[in-house]
Amino acid sequence: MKKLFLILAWRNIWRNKKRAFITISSIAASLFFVLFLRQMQFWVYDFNIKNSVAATVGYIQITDSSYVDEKIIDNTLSSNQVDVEALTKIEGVKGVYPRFLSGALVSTGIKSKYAGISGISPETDNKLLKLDIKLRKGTLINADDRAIMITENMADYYQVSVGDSLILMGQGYHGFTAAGIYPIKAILNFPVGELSSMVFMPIKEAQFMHVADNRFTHVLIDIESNNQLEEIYSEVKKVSNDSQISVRTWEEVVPGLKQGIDMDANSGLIISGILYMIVGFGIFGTIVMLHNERKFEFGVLNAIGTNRFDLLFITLTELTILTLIGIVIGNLSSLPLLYYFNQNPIKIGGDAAQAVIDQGFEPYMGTGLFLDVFTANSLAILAIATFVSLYIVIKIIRINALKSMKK
Amino acid sequence: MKKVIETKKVNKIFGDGEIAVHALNDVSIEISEGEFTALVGPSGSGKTTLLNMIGGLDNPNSGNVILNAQDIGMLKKNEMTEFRQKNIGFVFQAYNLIPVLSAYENAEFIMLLQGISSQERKERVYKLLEEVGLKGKENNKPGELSGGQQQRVAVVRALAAKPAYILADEPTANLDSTATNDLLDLMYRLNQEENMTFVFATHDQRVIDRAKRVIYLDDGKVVKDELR
Ligand SMILES: Nc1ncnc2c1ncn2[C@@H]1O[C@H](COP(=O)(O)OP(=O)(O)OP(=O)(O)O)[C@@H](O)[C@H]1O
Ligand SMILES: [Mg+2]
Repeated sequence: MKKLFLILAWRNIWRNKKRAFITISSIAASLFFVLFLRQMQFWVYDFNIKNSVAATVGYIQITDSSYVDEKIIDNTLSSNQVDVEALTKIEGVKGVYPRFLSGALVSTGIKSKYAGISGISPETDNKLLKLDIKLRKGTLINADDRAIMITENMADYYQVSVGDSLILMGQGYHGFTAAGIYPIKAILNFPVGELSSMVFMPIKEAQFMHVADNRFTHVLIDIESNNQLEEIYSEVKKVSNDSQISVRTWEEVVPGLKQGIDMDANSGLIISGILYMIVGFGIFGTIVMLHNERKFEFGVLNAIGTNRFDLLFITLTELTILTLIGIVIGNLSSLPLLYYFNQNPIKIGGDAAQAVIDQGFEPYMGTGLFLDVFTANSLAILAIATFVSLYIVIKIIRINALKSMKK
Repeated sequence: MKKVIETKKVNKIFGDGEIAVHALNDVSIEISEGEFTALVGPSGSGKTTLLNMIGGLDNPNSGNVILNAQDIGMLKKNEMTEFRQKNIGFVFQAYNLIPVLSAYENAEFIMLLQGISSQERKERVYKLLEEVGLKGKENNKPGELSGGQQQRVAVVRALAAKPAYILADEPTANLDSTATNDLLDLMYRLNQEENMTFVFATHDQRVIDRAKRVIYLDDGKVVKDELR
């Protein structure tokens, strides 16, 4: 019985081809634009989180509780406080990286300057920090080396190169002096940010120098996707259930980045909202026109015995198909472009780049293919269409055949 | 003869106070199965109002309307719709077909609502369309048919659903005289051969001439009831 209803709904769509075309294309075009905007935004956030968070502060980081307020070597963790193996087993965890971070006076004997010390595990961290790409001179350190890697900025400052040595002097565990003289094994390219004045050494050597064997300042947890952050965070909390231990997500460690992302995401949401409102009015206009045009017909149909719910079914089917066609076209037409920029992100140059950097982001632009962005925005349009359809729902529910048939 | 339509002291008043219009004033009529009746009277005399009443499309202010042995004052909105679907056939003045459906699809529409099998729908519709001279036009949309042909499809749509009676408000108003005669011939034949009951509201003398009973209305009252 419903088959003729479906036929009727389908043919009704094409009754006014121009209107159908305008409605469908306005839905498709705005969805296309919103998808591009949102997929770009989320790609940029993902990219920045991956780049600035994963390698340096970690998606999730574990420290001694006291270290959060006072970053000194006395407030480090001992290796038996953290169950690295259990953490590694958590679903979605890509890697667990103990770090030993501190600072020291770095000197050639003539020139001295304060710099950060990063004790890393070369076997895993070389990859995480993408050191093979950053390498400019020499070779990367190994776990058992008693050598350091410095940045190009530092090499310029001290006028040193691979093979030369630097003196490191700082504060060790429980009042010991942390000191050593280390040959430079590699020079790396970290032009901006915290890492631009950083001395990298094997974690074992850093612990030794600080007289802090088997201790570390941080355990960084790298995860598959930022979407799982909350989930994994609570799992990590379960494993490291100790008041002496602090577990924090990157959002707490670098709130600036989080704020920047939230602000930017909200601006995107506002733009999407405005577009959706325009689409909503467009669909509403279509519905009002459609009702005026069919009022007489609805009256006839009701008079000859079509009940209100069948009329509703026919009309809502028509509107739903119309909306879905727009949504499908919007999604499909956005795919090639989204895919292209997903595979070929571009580096932004010039003044635009500076603006992006000022916002705290790296100057790269690409687009994501996040499923939830597609579904959320498609559902948003469907919800708007449903909302404005209430107009005709009410009109049909209240139908009076005689009044509808009055010219 | 079985009574299919009965009104008892039906009053219909539109508006209230100064501007109230007493469109039907104590109208009591009875129409039996197989009648071929015309409601006539000057413009504004209440023909359409009465037809709407016995079509279950409007409710009286007082009095009873009993259609096919059912007092429709008891029915709720949805029940009323279903009652019309099962019992009453309508042919309106014009434009009462669905423009996107073919003659065939329009004709089967009510049967579809009634849940009649596709086999039976096909049989009835093809037979009736052929009878009314529309063989070969089954797939034409209303826009591709003349006014007279459209009205014949509307008659087929009403008839195919096997209603207790068919109501027609000025069915010939938009038709030329050939089309009017064809439509009248058709309804007359259906009345003679199938004993289908017809009630028209009309100004058209050609319709009045063919009627077997004429009920005259004036100012909302039945002033004459003439059997021929
Ligand atoms: N919905 C309405 N609201 C107010 N008054 C109405 C309404 N419908 C009908 N009337 C009034 O009721 C009276 C009877 O109208 P009705 O339409 O039944 O006349 P009619 O005999 O069918 O006339 P015509 O021959 O012009 O079709 C008229 O005075 C008309 O103005
Ligand atoms: Mg009238």
